Amino acid sequence: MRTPGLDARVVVRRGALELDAVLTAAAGETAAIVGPNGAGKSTVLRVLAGLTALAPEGHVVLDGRRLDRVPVEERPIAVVFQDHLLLPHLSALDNVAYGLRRRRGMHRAAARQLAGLWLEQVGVSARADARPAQLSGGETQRVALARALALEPALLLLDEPLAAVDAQARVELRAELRRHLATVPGVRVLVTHDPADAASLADRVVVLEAGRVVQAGALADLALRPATPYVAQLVGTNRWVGEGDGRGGATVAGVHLEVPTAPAGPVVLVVDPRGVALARERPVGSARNVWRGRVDAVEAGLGVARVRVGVPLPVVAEVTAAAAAELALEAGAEVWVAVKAVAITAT
Amino acid sequence: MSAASDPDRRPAPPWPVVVAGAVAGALLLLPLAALVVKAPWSQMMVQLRDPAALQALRLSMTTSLCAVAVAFAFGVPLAWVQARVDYPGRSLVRALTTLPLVLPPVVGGIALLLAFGQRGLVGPTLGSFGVRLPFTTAGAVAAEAFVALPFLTLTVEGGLRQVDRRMEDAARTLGATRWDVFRTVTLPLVRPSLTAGAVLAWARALGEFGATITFAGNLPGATQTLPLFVYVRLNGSEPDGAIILSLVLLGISVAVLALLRDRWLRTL
Repeated sequence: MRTPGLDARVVVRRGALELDAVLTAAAGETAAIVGPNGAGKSTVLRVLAGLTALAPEGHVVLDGRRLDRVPVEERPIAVVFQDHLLLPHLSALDNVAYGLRRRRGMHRAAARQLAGLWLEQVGVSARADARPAQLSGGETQRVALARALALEPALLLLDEPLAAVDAQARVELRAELRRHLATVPGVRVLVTHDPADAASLADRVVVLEAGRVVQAGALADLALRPATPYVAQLVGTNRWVGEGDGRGGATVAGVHLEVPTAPAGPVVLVVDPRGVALARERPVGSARNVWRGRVDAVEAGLGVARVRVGVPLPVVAEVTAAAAAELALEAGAEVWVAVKAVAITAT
Repeated sequence: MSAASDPDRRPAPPWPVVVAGAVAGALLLLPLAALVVKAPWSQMMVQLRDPAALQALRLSMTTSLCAVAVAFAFGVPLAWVQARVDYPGRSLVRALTTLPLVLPPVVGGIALLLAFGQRGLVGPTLGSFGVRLPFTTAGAVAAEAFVALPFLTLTVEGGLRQVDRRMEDAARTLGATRWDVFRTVTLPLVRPSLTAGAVLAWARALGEFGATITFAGNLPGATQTLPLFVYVRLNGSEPDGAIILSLVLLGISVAVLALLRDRWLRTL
């Protein structure tokens, strides 16, 4: 029975790294592997590509076929590497033609002709004769993408494809990448540390921490129920571990909160940063969960500011940029924090 | 801006250093200058038409190019193993295989005799296959290859270490077999080192004297290479011929240096 898609258990033991990650993705789906540095994200890709050996208890099955013992060059894969790794002695065109000749056995002239079409697809046909050293970051990224897409892989692997591109080009390239990924009928696996990449490119996010999958699902689900502090930080929400009193309250870091849904005993509370209000004076009215804290940092965005308040209970609040300016919020400022009970989810 | 007001201007170098440096420069350059100045230029064409000289030149070209071919055929694989295979004792092997760089050539010649001579370590075995090295042209090639090999292996190993292994990984994911990768990625990327190593090895082989005369002897037409011929002429009746042929060797050395320029300094 052939099930289209990827079914892998990636196991690698090497030095300090103990990697054991289950990864599944359907054909036509993009899975993003997200995690902190050293979590083993790139190693997962290398194993899928066949560049790093898989421990015996692991497996890589693609479209119903075991790939574990298939040599790299015979796997129906393509890789966009982090630094793109264009072959420095070949022109942009020949970099794309290289794969067509080796993997698909095309003759030189035909390969070069098809390579030209792929360069056109990604919008760099004008640079076909340029050597990699002469290409800009964005052009290099496009050639690397064309080189991978040209192989028409059943499994497309992308390792931080936008990391080597400057911030300005990244937004545009991300949108283009999204469009190109949609044309790949196979499985796409993307490694990234940037939640924006995961949000715009991936259907599903797999969070890897210290070699283990700590959570997998749609980004929205992760935001509702972040399994670890890292996931909470990734999706930009607050995650507290506290103690429920069984009477509609919970204590976190010495602060008593009113949480109607909190059960008795250990409880994880997730707080939407948009439900956290900040004020200079002690607020009056319905907000009952109120305490005084000091601002650690203010991250200004477009129209909104994310404010991190430190002691006693670390919390991120998302307020409008106007409010942040009006309150003169800056590191060290003393503020009142108020959290609506409905913004707190107990899990 | 005048030099005096240039804030980045460095102080004048201390004079004892300058003087000592000048002595070193003179020591290196004066003899070469003397060779050019004192050379009997009018004798040039006569000496270069001397059949004995031409024979030595031809033999030198043949043996040195053969030595480079031998060094290439076996030295590149050695360099690859040294650069790519992690095995116990690798540093020791590197030290021993580069020994001929610093070994007095005459010692190398004696060592070759004790290995490949008629009563040497493996000489009799080779002899039973009909291979005889001492006092043959093949022996001259062996002596030159012995001294030239480290130049090639060191240069090529350095070049291989600089190749980004991830480029080779990338090529594998594009469908290239290991052999494809070596042929179409690794070799093109180390080509500058291969060229530099081969030229250095050739220059060393061409100038080889001590190991050749000890191991292969001084037989005109068979093992009397150009340096040996020059030495014989200088001690004999025709020092002019020795000087002219020295000029030829000097010209070749200068050409080699010009060809490599700063390249070999970077890769060695």
